[in-house]
Amino acid sequence: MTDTQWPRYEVFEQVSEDQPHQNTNSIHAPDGEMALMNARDVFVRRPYCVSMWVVPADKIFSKTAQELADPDWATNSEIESVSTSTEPYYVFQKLKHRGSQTYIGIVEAQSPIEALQHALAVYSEGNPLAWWVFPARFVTKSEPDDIESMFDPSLDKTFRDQSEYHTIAMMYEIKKRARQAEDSE
Amino acid sequence: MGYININEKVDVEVKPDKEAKLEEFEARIARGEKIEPGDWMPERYRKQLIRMISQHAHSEIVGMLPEGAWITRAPTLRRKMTLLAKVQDEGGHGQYLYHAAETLGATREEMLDALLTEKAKYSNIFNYPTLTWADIGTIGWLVDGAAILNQTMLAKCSYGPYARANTRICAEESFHKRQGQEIVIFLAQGTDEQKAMVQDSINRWWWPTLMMFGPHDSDSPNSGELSRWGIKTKSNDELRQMFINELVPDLQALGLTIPDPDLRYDEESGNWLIGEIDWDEFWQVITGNGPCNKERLATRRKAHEDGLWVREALSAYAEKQANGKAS
Repeated sequence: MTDTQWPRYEVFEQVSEDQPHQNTNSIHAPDGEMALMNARDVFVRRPYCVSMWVVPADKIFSKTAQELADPDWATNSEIESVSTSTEPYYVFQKLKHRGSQTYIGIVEAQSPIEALQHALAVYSEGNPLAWWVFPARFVTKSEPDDIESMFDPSLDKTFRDQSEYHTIAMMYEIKKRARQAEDSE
Repeated sequence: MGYININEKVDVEVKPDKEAKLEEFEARIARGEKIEPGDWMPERYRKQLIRMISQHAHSEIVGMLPEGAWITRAPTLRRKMTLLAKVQDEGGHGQYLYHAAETLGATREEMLDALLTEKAKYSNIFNYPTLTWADIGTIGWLVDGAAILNQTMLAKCSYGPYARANTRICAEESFHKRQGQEIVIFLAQGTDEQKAMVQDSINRWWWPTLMMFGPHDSDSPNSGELSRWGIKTKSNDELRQMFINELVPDLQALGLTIPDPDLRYDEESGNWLIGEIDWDEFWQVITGNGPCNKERLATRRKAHEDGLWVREALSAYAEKQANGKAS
């Protein structure tokens, strides 16, 4: 077997139950299950995740506001296939320049183009800067039962937190003592 | 791909269109907008970013090696857990960055191959050896401190995926810097032997750390373009000066001596001014003749080869699972 590159999966994290899933980064893995496990090791070394999704990057249909400004964007887009029945698509959007792709909702569609057209009609408030849509069936998700084994262990690892190291206070004390010593001389 | 190459014709006929695009692109950056994958960008912007981001990624990966060497020799359990976590973070940072480069069309394989075949560079600093435990403190405080200044700037850069990777990296690097600073503070207040060990460490790392910021501005040919395109918004010399001004008072307060007889405070500018940097050493190390260049790459190659069976096993498992599902 040759040493080839595995497919790329985009990774989405939910930092708490009242927050939507957000794109973190991507990971290479041979399948969705390994992608989820690798993503957990790479991206959840610190305690801020309750749910994680991964989806093969090549299943994501992506358009920026700049690309959508072209009136022919739909006819110019290359897509794999159109199915005969509708299926649920997840819709993600980037609203702020410094933000990342964030989950906004689900649309039913027969193709990625149609999914994005529906999304544009329903979720355009706030003038998103970029969109991602992909069929829900390609997503691998962590389950609520996984929280304890996948995400909770990092809660105890407080030594990974900068606030465990009181160097600013230590330097302040050292400099104060030096000043006092100087003054008393 | 169709039979007729439409792009070629467009390119020849409407060159003004390309200039208009470039103008609009630069206007977007001037307005503080982020460029995202899919947006139009000049080819040079894409290439410069791939070069910078992949070098940055390689630095994180190779950067695991000098510190990793001390995990088994950490003096306490707390220090060992901290160092393990830090080295693991660096591996994660490499992943974030390779991802950012991939959004520009570079493949992971190409990049790893370029590193292992010495076609790509990584930060010079990791070609120096870690001789004592004090080096773990010095690397955390000085080397990571220097890296944070650079990455804080890059967290604001114009390319969205690279900016986001750096934002995440900076949050974690603060921990790296502080754990290192804590080690240096403890040693500097310790026994005479510990003080001598940490002084020796500062003596060896001070100049290589200053070189991390790169050649003087007068010798950096790309800086105008990188600044106009919102990638590198502070110059090498500016960042270096920020670092020096931050570190000198703290190191001196700890009773440590900075190995530069020409170091002096300039009342007028409020800057600490340093002596001449030995650029011959910099170029020697960057062209492959540093103390550890060969050792670092040999270790990376061995790790890559030794991991082959794991990659093969995972591929075989995935294949079996997929076939099982299909039948």
